[in-house]
Amino acid sequence: MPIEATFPPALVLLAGALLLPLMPRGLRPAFSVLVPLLALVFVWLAPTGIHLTMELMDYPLVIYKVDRLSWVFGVIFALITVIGSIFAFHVREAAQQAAALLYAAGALGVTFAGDYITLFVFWELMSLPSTYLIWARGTREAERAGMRYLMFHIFGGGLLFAGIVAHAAAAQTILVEPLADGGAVASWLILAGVCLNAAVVPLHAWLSDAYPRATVTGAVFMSALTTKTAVYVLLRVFPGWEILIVLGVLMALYGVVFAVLANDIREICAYHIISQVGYMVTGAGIGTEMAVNGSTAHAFSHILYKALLFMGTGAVLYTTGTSKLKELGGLAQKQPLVLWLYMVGAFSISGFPLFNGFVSKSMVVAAAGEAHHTAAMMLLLLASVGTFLSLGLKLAYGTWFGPDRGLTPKEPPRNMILAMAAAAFFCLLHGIFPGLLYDMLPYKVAFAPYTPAHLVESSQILIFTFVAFWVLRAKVAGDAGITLDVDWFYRRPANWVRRVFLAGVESAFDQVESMLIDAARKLALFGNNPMALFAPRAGEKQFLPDAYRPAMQTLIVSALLAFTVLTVWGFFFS
Amino acid sequence: MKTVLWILLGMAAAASLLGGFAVPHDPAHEGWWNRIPAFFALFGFVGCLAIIYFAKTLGKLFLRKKGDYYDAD
Repeated sequence: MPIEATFPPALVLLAGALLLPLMPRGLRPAFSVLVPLLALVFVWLAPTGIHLTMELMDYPLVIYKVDRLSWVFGVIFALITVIGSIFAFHVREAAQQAAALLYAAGALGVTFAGDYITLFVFWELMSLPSTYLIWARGTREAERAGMRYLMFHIFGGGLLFAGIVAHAAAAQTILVEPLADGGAVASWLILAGVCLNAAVVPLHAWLSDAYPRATVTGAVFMSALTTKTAVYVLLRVFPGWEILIVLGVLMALYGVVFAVLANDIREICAYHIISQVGYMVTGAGIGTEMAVNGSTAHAFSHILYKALLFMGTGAVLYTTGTSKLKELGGLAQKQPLVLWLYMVGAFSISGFPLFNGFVSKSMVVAAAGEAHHTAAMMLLLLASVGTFLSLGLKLAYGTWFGPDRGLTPKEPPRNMILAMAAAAFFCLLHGIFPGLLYDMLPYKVAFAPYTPAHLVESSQILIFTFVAFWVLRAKVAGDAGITLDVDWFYRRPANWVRRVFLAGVESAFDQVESMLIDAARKLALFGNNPMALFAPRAGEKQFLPDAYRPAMQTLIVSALLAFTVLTVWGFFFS
Repeated sequence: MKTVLWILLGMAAAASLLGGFAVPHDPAHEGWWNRIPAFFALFGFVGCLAIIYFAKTLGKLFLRKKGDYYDAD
C-alpha cells in the first residue's frame, strides 16, 4: 500500500515557523531546512482529493484539496523553500527564518485552498512575512520600500476581499472554481486583486521597487512565491479570459524594456520576473490545455532559474557589498563558481537548448501559435530576445567581465553555493529530460521541444541577439541613477499629498489650537478682574476689593432703598 | 582561447543559418515569416537593436533620473 500523506503541508510550515524561535540558536538553520523538506515530502506523497474540511458559520471550508494543478505548484513551492533555506543557512536571525517559513506556509495554503475564505486567509498571511524580508535589510531605503510594498498588498487584499464577498453574495458559493469571462463585477474585483500579486502591468510597481531592496536571502523566497501563487490562481479561476493575453504580452515586453534601463543587477532580475510572469499570464489567457500546461511548466522552471538568478546576484551583493552595475566588473576570475552557476540560470531563462526555460517557454509560445494568437506569439519571441540581452549578456558582461573595478569579493558561504548548485541541477535536469517536468503537468502533454525546426529557430534568435549586443555593448552598460516607473504616480505626488492632506490639516489644527489657547488665556485674564468690563478706568489687572467697595455699597444701598420704597408703596397704596 | 570562442560562435551561427534552409518548418509555426530566409536570425538581431534603442530613448526622454530624484525637494 502506498504511503498516504493527507496532512496539509501549509500547517507543517506554520507549525515550523512557530516552533523555530523556541529552538536552540544553533539548531535553527537546520530546522529551517528540515521543515520545508518535510512539507515537500507531504506534498509529494499527497493523493488527489479533499483531505481537510471545516465549517465556519454556514460556510463549508475546504482547507486541503489536491488535484493535478495544485499538486505541481505545491511541489515547486516546497522545493524552492528548501533550496532558499539552504541559501539562507548562514543567517542567524530567527525572525527572518520564521518569516520565510510563514511566507511559504501562505503560498502552500493558497495553492491547496478549495474555498475563497481559506484562500484569502493564506493570501494575507503571505504579505506581512514578505514585508519583513524587505525590512530585515535594515536600510532606510528598505524600510520605505517595504512600507510601500505593504500598502500595495493591503490594497490588493482589499480588492480580493471585496470581490470574494460580492461573489459569495451573488453566486451563493465560496468554492474556488473557474469564473466565466467578463460579466460580474465580483469576478473583476477578484481578478484585479490577483493581478496585483501577479505584478500585472500597471499594478506591478511594488515588485521592481521592493525586491532589489530586500535582504540577499529574502529576495530568493520573494522571487518564487508571491507572483507564482497569483499565477496559480489565474490558471485555476481565470483560464481563457482574453484580456489576460493582452496583459501578459504587455508584461513580457514591459519588463524587458525596463530591464535594459536598470542599473541594479537585482532590479534587472526583478523586471524579468514581470516579463516571465507575462508568459504565464498569457498562457492563462489562452486557456487551452496546452497553454495551461505551458504556464504551469514555465512557472515551475521559472521559480528554479529565477531563484538561481537572485541567488547569484545576491551572492555578488553579499561578497562585494554592491549590486550596481556601474560599480561592478571584472569578477570572473575572482568568483568563477558564482559566475557559472548564475550563467546556468541565465541560459535557462533565455531558453537555451538543454536548459529548462527552453522546454517550458516554448510550450507557452507554441500554445499561442496553436490558438492562432500569432501577434502574441511573435511578441513573446521578441521578449525572449530581450531576456537574453539583459540577463545573459548585459548583466553577466557588466558584473563578471567588462572593466575590472578593483573589487575584491570575500568568499561566499558554502551553503550559498550549495543552494545555487541544487537549483542549477534542476534547471539542467528538466532541460535534458523534459519528460520529468511534463509528467507532472495537469494535462497530458503532446509537445516535443527538441525538434530540428525549434532548435534552428532558437539558436538563430540567440546567436544574433548576441551579435547585436556585441555591437552595442557600450550603450547597454548600466549608468548611475534610477528609472521612473508607474511608482512615479504615487511616489512623486507623495510630497504634494503630504503637503495638502497632512501639512495643511496639521497647520489648520495648529492654528485652531493656538487660537483656543489664546482665547483661554484672555478669558483667564478677564476672570482675574471682571470689573474691568464695567469700569475700564479701574484698569487694574488684579481685582482689588477695596477699590470698588464704595461703588458696590452705593449700588447695594440704592437697590435696597428702591426695594424698600416699592414695598412701602405697595403696602399703603394698593 | 578568445579566438577559439569566436570561431566556435561563428561556426554555430553558420550552422544555425544553414540549418534554417535544411530543416522543414514547424507546422505549428506556419506563417508569412517562413518565406523570408534566415528570418529568426534577423528577428534576433533587429529585435535586439530595437529593444535597446527603444528603451534608451524612453530613458533619455522621461525615465532616467538622478538617484536622489524622489528625495529631492
